[in-house]
Amino acid sequence: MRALGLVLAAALGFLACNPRPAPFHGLPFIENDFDAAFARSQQAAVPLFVEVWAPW
Amino acid sequence: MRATVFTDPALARHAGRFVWLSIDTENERNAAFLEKYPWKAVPTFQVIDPRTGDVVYHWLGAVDANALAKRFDEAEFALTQTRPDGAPRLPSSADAEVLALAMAGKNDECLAAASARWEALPPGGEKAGVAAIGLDCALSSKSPEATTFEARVKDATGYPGLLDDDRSSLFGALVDARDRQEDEAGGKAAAIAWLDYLDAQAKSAPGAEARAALDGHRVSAAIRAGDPARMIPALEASVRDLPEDYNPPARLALLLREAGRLDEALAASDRALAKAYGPRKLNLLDARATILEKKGDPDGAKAVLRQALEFAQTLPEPQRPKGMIARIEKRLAG
Repeated sequence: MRALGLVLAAALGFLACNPRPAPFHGLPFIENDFDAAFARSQQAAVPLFVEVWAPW
Repeated sequence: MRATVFTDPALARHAGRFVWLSIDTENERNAAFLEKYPWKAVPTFQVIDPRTGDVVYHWLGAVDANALAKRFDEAEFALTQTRPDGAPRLPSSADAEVLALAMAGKNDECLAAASARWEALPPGGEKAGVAAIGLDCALSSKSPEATTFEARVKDATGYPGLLDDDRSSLFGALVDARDRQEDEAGGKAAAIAWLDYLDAQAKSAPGAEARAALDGHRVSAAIRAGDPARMIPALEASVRDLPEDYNPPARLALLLREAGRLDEALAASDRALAKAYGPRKLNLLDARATILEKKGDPDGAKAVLRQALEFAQTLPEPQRPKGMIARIEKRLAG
């Protein structure tokens, strides 16, 4: 029983350390704020991807 | 792409490669951006170098998740290998190449490129795009190859795996092809085939937003087919499902107007205008003026057109729709 308990504890610990990845709800677009997005892009040193769209 | 592609789980692993920015061309907060980074059509996609603020890669038009992932790679390459002339790089795909020629008004070169590239492509979005753009260029240059490309576009409507928007646009291109060759009956028949596709899409769309994404096509197809009433229930469903969106009532107003149900059209126009913002509001007011004219109220129509021009003056300069303003001024003068 003690061995089983250790196995379970180890398994639970593993699960706690490896949570399921968060569900993907889409690429995290910043809406209509170029200055904020560009500043974040500079800070992270990654390029800025811009989608230019219209609601119609 | 907003309703389907950008939410594709296959893109999750790319989320950290860029900072993502969405720019609504109608939102006045974006006036300065739109002045600095001009656009010709939507959707436009741009990748901006954080070191310089320059656009290093761009394209026009929707693509599926697989093509998008490839373009992420090309954009990162463009960042490290800027062109000597400083101009942004384009995607390496054939459809992007022919579209760039078409947008530059180089119809003969566009047609030559489309003819050269079409054969070797496997059936899919890229081949369909080359066929549709090739058809447009063939029609513009009055080439006999239009017949060949029209058949290719017809064939492409059955390709597997196309985005709904792209497939619907192929049906629209077939209507356009008949109309530009002054084939009234052929244009109407093509519009009815388009409506049949749109009915099927409404049943298979994963949600209201994905279904309503083609509502603009529904209005165009129904009016061209001479059967505006056929799509009124679909637009009424969009009004119910997307209560914060001005587009469904605005589009419903057009169908009701064409169906001769003018009081209902005015009521739908009221609902749309209560929520509308930005330059598109001019289109809604222009459409409302036409409803009033059809009701026999020319003074009311002119008052609405004057209201539209006054509203236009309140828009930031980069967002003033000069073509629509000219159209309204002409209507008022006439």
